[in-house]
Amino acid sequence: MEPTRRSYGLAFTALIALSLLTLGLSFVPLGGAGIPLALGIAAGKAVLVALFFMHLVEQRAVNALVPVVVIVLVALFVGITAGEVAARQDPRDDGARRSASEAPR
Amino acid sequence: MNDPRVHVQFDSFEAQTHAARLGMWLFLASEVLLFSGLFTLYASYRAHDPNGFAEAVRHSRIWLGTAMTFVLLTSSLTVALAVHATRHGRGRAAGGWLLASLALGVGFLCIKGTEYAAHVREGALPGVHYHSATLPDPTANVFFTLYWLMTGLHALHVIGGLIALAVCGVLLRRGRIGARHPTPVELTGMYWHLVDILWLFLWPMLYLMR
Repeated sequence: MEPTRRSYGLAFTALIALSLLTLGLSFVPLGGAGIPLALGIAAGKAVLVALFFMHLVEQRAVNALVPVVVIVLVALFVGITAGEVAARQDPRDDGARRSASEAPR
Repeated sequence: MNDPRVHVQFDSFEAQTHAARLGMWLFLASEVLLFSGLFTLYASYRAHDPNGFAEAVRHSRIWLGTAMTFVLLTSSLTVALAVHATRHGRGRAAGGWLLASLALGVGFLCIKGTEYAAHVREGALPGVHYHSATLPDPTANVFFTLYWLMTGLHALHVIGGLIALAVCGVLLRRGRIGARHPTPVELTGMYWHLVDILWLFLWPMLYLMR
């Protein structure tokens, strides 16, 4: 089913609303939850763009396999690489993790 | 069946169109993998020094970044409407929406240029050329190097997309694209929406996550 112009308008409104939400939340001290929340909302917006603007809703289902697989691969790539960096410990002290800005220079 | 639009290897116009769309999705996937290298660098360096990164993000121009987000989102809408108009044989409307998309894309690049100029004045340049007085921290140097690389690569993609949209406009005027041949506009639209999606991640990463 080809999206109607109304569908495009609704998707656009949702995208603007989610963007305003992300902007507003960036001013709220959320601690560790801030980053996953911002990226999660971004992912939700990407899904809206892919489904409606990029016409995934009307295309054959197999097309959706491509972005889904790519997302999994990118998640592995970013997650494992950054996760390794985050899990590093300084062997000089008791093994407690320190941010590079706190480490002795 | 004798549909003249269908190339010999396809059973039908629908099969041919599907192949074109799937091929485009695969190309877009390769573009995502290209950017994922930079995203991984960002995530890794941020994991290494989260405080330094957050401090650097606090110095980015949040309102320029937000303006660029709204400009690109609107351009995605106008591109989608251009494709819709093309499919329904409304060539003049399609041309108008394509023109609006081009204007918005150029607007995005103008805002980006303003921002780049400000960073150059402050000395927030990539790599060894970094010499910011307000943010002397080496982590800020890393952040801005990534900033220039990521937004620069993205801007190149915006320029490529604008060229493709302009070509679609020309072909539309010449009657080579229309209700019976909408696929080129559709594929160009998919590329443009990817450019928008990439920015939807760059915006929080470079401007909001403080």
